[in-house]
Amino acid sequence: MNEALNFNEQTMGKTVVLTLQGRFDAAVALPVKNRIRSLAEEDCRNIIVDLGKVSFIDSSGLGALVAALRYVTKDGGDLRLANMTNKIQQVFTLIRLDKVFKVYPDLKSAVGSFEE
Amino acid sequence: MMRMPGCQLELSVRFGPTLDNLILGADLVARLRKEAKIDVKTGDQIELAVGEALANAIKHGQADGDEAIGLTLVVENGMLTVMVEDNGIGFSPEDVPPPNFDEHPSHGYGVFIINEIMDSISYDSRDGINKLTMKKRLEK
Repeated sequence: MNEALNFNEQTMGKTVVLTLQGRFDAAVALPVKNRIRSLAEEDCRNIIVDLGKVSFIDSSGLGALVAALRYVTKDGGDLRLANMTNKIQQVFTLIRLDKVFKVYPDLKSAVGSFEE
Repeated sequence: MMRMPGCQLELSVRFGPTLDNLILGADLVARLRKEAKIDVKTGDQIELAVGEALANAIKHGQADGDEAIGLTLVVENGMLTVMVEDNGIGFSPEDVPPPNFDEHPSHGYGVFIINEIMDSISYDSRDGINKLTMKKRLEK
């Protein structure tokens, strides 16, 4: 059986980490996008989305991240990605979004990138 | 599951036009991957293409009813045929422009993805039923 998406948040210093687990598809793209927008409106400028436990992503999930990135960066923040699996990476590459995001191999390096 | 004469494998499911039901399509693809012994990379691609086709039918088709969306997966002589049906207003993939990759839009990639993954696609609309048929040769 496939697993519906769950997401939780943790704050690491000045960075908020949104960890997604399960299927990131059109059914859940809007709530994820809205949550990231809410974080930006709450003045969280450093946001990391941890994709390590995402079992599937479609163009709606990717689109939600693109829309969220645009929203976060317009006020000087950034949205960075961590722990992308090969399966997820292939979808990013297919629609040529691999150059749009800053992607880090693990959470530690993603958090550290905001502290440089 | 239903098996047709001369058919190696056929799986199908019907459900209502809500995005929460995408997971039912994903479960059917998971069964296909297991029963047809499809390799991981090809299985991932099929999962994505089927998900995009179902999402388009649900989001853009304005279909109605508990069985408005149909998904059928057939493997015969090494060829996978995917059929996505809906009873809505229709959504011809030929009318969808390709994404503008220079601008990295946040939507409009679904048909592009399907075309990249599948070997052929065709679309037919008659008697109130729209059918998207996608084919892909499976590696032995």
